[in-house]
Amino acid sequence: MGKSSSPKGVMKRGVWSSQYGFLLAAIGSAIGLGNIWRFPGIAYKNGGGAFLIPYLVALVAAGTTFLLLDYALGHRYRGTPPVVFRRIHRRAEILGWWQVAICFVIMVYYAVIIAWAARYIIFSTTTAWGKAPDKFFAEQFLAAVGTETLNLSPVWGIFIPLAAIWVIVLIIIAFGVQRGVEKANRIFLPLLVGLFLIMVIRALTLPGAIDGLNQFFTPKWSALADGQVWIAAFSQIFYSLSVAFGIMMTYSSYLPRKSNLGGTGFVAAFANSAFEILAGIGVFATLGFMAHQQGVKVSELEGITGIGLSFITFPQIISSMPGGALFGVLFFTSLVLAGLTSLLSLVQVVAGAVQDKFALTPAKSAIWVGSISGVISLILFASKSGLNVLDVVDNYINAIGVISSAILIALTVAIIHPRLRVLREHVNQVSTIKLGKWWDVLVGFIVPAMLLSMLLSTISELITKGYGDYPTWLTLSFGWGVLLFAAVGSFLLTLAPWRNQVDQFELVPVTPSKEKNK
Amino acid sequence: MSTSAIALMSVAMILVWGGLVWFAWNLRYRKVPVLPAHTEELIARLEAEEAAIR
Repeated sequence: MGKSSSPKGVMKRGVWSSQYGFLLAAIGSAIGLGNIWRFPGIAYKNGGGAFLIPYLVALVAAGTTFLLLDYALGHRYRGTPPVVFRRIHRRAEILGWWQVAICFVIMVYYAVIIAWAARYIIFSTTTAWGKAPDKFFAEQFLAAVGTETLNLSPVWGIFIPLAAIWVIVLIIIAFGVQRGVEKANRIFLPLLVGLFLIMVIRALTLPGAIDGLNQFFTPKWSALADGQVWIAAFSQIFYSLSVAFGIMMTYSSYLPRKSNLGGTGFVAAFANSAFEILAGIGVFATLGFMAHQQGVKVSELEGITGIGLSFITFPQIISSMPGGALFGVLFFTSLVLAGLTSLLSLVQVVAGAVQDKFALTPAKSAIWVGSISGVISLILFASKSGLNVLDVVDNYINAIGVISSAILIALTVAIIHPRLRVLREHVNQVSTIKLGKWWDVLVGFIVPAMLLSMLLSTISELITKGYGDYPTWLTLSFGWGVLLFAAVGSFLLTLAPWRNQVDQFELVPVTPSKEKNK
Repeated sequence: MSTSAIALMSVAMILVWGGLVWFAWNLRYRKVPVLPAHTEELIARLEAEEAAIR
């Protein structure tokens, strides 16, 4: 029961029922909380309509290219990130565990935001936040303490829904790739798109909606000359598409060998951006209504991105809107669904890697991973210091962890153990969309060089200025400390012996395009 | 809405949603390349081995 490899060394792994099932899961993973609460605000702050130009360039140059690199690695080397990099070179295995560690860290705090949104679905029905949603959120709901202390006393109003979210996610993961993750995405993703569309249509009918859209789309052309705007666009695409986390690598490893990688990659990337544009329209139409109600300009509004947008600004709007309760239920249910599909993908990377390394069944691996991550998640993030810890961990793991992972992947496959040509030919031999040598240059050199400059400037800023108004002990423990924990964890997991015969592996030969054309 | 805002909104929608429709059509209707016989045989064997232990 426990062992999951055959005597011949073939690893027992799940498989998607079809390419369509994989596509839904990949889109579900890409469409997350960031599409709804991050993109509209980032676009607006970085040039409005003009931001869409660097955004589209980033989508094609960095998003789709890196996404296809992830797809190609997982599909060719048939495994979660540690398997993939071990099969490239034994010493590269640690890079795979680094990605698993990043997913682990993200999933323990990501779950709590879904739990908040789940509670807010219920709060919406009675507009429980009253006339002061900001005080309600910080003081009553989170019972948040200041940044000067670490208070791990549980907040039961968060603890219970968070525990429920973990139980739901782990049951889905325990059912395996096809019966669990795929089935859940087949239900959650269409439901998310349907509910969100209804919400956007309602938002567009509100007074002031057009002013909101005008603010969102009016281009500030001078922004195009600002390097920071381009960095914001590339970062948005990178985080939004979930590249370099190991998610797409893991998902593509469950695809049958004859699958259209290029086609599915472009559909997933464009579907993610299509949803982001839709979210921008919905959010700014709603903000336009708020500005209209308050008799101010949209540009004077605050809290138009992130947690503030969802849990303070939107409740304020819901209270002043005719039929606000229903609008609130739609909005927070969309957040829960978008979050759940992304959380499933994060947990699948960790559970899948544990399954591959220790030859466990999906159920056993889900129980192990779920117990550890659930306990950490409940202790740290269902506490009175939960919001502060979340903010710090989120910033460091994304700005340093994910970006360093992307650079290391590119460095590994472009220079240390060159595989770009073979990966490109691997994609091309099963795809309707062909990659040229330009792809090697983009993923091997240009995009990593951009990411490296971003990473260096972020590190230097965090070292010299710290992060926000947080005290040094907090950023050292939950910022740099979490990165150190991830690095040490990756090292130790690399040292652990494989219970699967990971090195007995047969690669499918690639056929260079020229030869095939003869 | 200003003319420039309408123009940017239209361009973004046409490129992103149009791109999505185009790639979805491409995925659904364009035929994937045929692999050499020896590769097809290898894939069939590997997938049969995996299916046998699943």
